[in-house]
Amino acid sequence: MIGGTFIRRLGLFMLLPVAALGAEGGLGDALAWLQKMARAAHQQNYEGDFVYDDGEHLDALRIVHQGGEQERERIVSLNGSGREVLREGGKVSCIFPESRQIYEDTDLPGYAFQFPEADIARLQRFYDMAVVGRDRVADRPTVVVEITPRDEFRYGYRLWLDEETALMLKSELVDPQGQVVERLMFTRLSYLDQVPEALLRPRVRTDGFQRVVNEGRPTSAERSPWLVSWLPGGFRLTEERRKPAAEGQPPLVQMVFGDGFSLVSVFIEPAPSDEAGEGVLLDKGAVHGYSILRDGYRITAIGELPAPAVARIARSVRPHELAHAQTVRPVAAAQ
Amino acid sequence: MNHSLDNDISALMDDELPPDARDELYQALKSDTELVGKWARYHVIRDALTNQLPEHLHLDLADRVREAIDSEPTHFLPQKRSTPPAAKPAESESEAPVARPAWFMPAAAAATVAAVAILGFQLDRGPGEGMTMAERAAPSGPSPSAPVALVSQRGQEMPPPQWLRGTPTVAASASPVLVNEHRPFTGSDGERYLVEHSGVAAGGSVNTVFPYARMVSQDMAGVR
Repeated sequence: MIGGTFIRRLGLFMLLPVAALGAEGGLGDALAWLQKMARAAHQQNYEGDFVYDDGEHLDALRIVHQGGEQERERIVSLNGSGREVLREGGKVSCIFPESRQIYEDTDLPGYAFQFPEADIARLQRFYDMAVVGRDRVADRPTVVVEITPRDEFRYGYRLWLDEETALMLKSELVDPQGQVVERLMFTRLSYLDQVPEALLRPRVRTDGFQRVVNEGRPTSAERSPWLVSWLPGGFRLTEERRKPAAEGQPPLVQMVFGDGFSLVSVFIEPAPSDEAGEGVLLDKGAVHGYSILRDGYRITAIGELPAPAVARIARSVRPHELAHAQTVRPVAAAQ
Repeated sequence: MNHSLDNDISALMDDELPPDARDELYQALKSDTELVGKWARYHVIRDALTNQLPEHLHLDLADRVREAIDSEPTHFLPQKRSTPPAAKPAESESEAPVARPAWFMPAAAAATVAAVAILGFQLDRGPGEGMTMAERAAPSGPSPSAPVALVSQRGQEMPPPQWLRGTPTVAASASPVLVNEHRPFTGSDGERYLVEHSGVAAGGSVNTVFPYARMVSQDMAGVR
């Protein structure tokens, strides 16, 4: 949990004017602001600094975003080794200076939050949404939208949106006990008419870095060989990606499920027969992962969900019996 | 009693029964009174092991149930492997642990590990979805919910996960999950999972910046 940090004290101080201003609004207002926020995330040109607090670490990061048809973005850590992420359309490059690696992913889905009308009714079943007040972040006036889950399978959100542009300037993820588990807040923000090319270039020289390319690609396939038999309500399969494995092995699978506000990935990969690691819990801020071994496969669920929910999803994965006979073979038999 | 259906009951209580098999089991439960009795007994056993029996029941019932379990023929799912075989000392057949259902194991562990981290999680009934047939049909569950818990492996002391520090336990375990190892997304696999998930999460999460902010700040874990 995030507690006792400078950020928390700052946040409490800044929330004080919210009630006093009496800016509460109902669902309609919240939905309108969220739709504006989704558009702003695609369209705005800006650069700024923000802090990220995952309850264990406080980090300072810089972001440069070019909106419009050719969306591009660069996020760089101002601390540590200075990791960077560069995004251009569906292509993402992650630069890890400490290990001299560049990780590349292509063919990713549109990378800014979407808020299609069709999702609204579904989201209302699982979340309450309201405008709860006004505040000021990075010296800009904001409205505060609160998204509260109706069950304990998922996190809630508090979003501070720029009153003028609806860009998200501050965000908190709140667990089922009401504790903030992750926080992000701009401390400086400049909107730009045009983004200088220099701001979108990495500052790390990557000559000689090892290049690792994710060969996973979306599949429109046929029925998945795997069945995730339990998911929180409202979660649907949004994408399935597969990548080739070693010769004679079935493909590695990544199934992605979302409820409109958050996503969970389920990775299914052949595991060596001597593989250890049953019941491994991973975490980073509000993201949890849980791994199990089953029938010669490692099954790992990762998502912005409370850890028990992620674990439960991982444990519910089964080979789909019909597809199993055709495409999924026990690893031992394949070797 | 059909051993396969016994397995299915155990799997159903553990939310690990595929939908097709669930339907088959529910059909069987409609017509097989012996199976319904088994179903009820399993829930009583589970409630006893998780100290969730109603107060009016005789106090020594939990002990009697535990004794009964030791003599109960076991037709449960195979016990999950919690450590690689090579890391385990060889066990004679007589010393081998009795196969238990997944919901049984951590309760036994809890009895022997004083500081076991049984981390409760009360999953309130959602608005109609997000529950399995096990939840809908359970005649004697500990509550109208489907609690899931994370527990440490027997004999392993682990600090509570960061996400639970300071959070009171709100429910005992009815569908526990074993946690043998808890760590950040480090190591080649951990980082890869986080990166690959972030790639899709940036497009589907309400906060488009969080996914990559997590990854960019991830190397701080290495200098703790």
